[in-house]
Amino acid sequence: MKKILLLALFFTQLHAAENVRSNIMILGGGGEPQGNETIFDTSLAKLGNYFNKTKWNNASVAFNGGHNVTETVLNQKFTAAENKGHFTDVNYKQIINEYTDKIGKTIKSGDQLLVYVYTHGGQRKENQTTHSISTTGAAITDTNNLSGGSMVSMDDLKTLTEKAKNNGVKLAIVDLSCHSGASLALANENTCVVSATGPNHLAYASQTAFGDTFVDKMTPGKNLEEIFLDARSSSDDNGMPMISTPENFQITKNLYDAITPYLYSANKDGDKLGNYLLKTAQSDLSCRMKREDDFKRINDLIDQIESINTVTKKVLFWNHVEKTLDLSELRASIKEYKMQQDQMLKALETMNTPDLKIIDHYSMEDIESTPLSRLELLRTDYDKVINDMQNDAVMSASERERNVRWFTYLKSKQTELNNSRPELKRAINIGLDFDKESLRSYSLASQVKNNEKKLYDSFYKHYKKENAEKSNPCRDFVL
Amino acid sequence: MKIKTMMILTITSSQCFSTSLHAAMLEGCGFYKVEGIVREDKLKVKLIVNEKSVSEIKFSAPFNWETKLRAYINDPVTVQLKIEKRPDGTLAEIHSIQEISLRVPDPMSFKPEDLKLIKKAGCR
Repeated sequence: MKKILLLALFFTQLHAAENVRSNIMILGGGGEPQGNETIFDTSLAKLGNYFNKTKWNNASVAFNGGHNVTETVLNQKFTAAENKGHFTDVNYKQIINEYTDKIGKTIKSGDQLLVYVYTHGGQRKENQTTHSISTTGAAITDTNNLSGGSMVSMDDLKTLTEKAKNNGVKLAIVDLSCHSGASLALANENTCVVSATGPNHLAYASQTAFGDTFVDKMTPGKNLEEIFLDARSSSDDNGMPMISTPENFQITKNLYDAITPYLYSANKDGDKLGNYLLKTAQSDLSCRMKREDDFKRINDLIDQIESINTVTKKVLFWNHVEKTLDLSELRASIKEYKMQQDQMLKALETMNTPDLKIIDHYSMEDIESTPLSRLELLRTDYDKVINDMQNDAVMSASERERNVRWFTYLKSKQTELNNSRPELKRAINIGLDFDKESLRSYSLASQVKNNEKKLYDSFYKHYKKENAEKSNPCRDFVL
Repeated sequence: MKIKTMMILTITSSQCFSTSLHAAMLEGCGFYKVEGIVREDKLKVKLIVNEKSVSEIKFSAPFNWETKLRAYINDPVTVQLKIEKRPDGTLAEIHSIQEISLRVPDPMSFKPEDLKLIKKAGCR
């Protein structure tokens, strides 16, 4: 009897699933430099393959504009979608308005709408609920604030989420941009939000990064929570993917703030690590204490999750406690990166010593007195300046001769100071090593990230046990 | 201890770093406090405020002050400087530099780089 009932339930759900009308909105591809390709092409092509295998009631695309390869992917893979043109401010707002208007009309209660966003994303601004994303136009010059390019706000999707909720439409927003964790603020009883990373972190574009992996894992019949967890554990970038389920919120509330600096790395167009360390070095004691408290908090979390994952075995007359989850590599990788960051902080502090702020005046018969701090004298690369001056074809011979003479003189003063005050030279060298050490930061953050996945998965399973029977919009959104 | 009973200490980064909003604008000659980035272009060193934006302002400097700025190429800085020559639109010439310090850009507030007139002075 039970089997018959289960079978009946299965066919009822299958029938219901067949009646669910699926809709998709594909947005993004902005902020990229001129050229034929964008960093989003591979993922877009993969999404195109999935798109063509499945049936969509409404499908619209507003993606990129001005890159040949991307345009080709759009034309070949999304023939069944309505192309709304380039991903501009106007088109973005228009497509959102259109779909908001469709809800309650062609998109009805029980139907699903998937909003896929893959572009550059900035950190949340003070006046935003979510964050900004890049539109088509100039290339961004800073991945933190999207400067150099044009942008729109994910806040514009708020009305859509409210209308979906009021009309019983299942909405999913998959934001694969940098700092996309800020978009989790759009979640509600009917809206599931998946982000490729946390609000403080960059997302990555590669075949094994979360964005691509998420698309790889999209399979009809799977729900968004399953796809997210599968993609999170099998992707290998340094982002911190998030999903708007109670389980994720419980984990990130405990973990995210504390682990944030250990997922940072140095990069030239929006240096997360450098900015963080410089801020910390210049901040008051409370920020230093917070850094130490956060480090302790991560270790406490690791201890707690390990203690949950233990089994007690009886060996002869004794009880033997055995770990079923070993997070010692996570503990070690965070410790290693913290020590590295501590050294870099020390280097930054050393560069602030009063001795390096002493100003000396330098002059030559044809050059006015120039006040230079010892720091400035020591940190200038005079060999490069002299070489550049000697090889410059634009300036006059007399100007070149004067400049080379001047910088050679300063170079000699730099050498004198180096010889007389070797401890200052060491301080500067530590500072210069900062750049070299920064290069190691990505691999150190990768070690932390790879090990963090075990912690996240284990926490997620633990919390899921408490919520097993409860539905949530991510679990209810079935592809 | 059960996980759900754990005490959570939440200190957000905003408690550590303050933010505010200003607009950058040249207001004739005088003493300024300027946030910008130091760049080298064709062997000339310039201080640029709000680089590559519609509100970009460029400061050039005489040779001796260029020498000082060279220590900060590609670094975001805060500079206290004096302008004695009337600015030409968004181009200005540094007369002298009183102080330079390294600066951390603040993406959290997304505030544009700042340029503040500290004390007005006559142009020469």
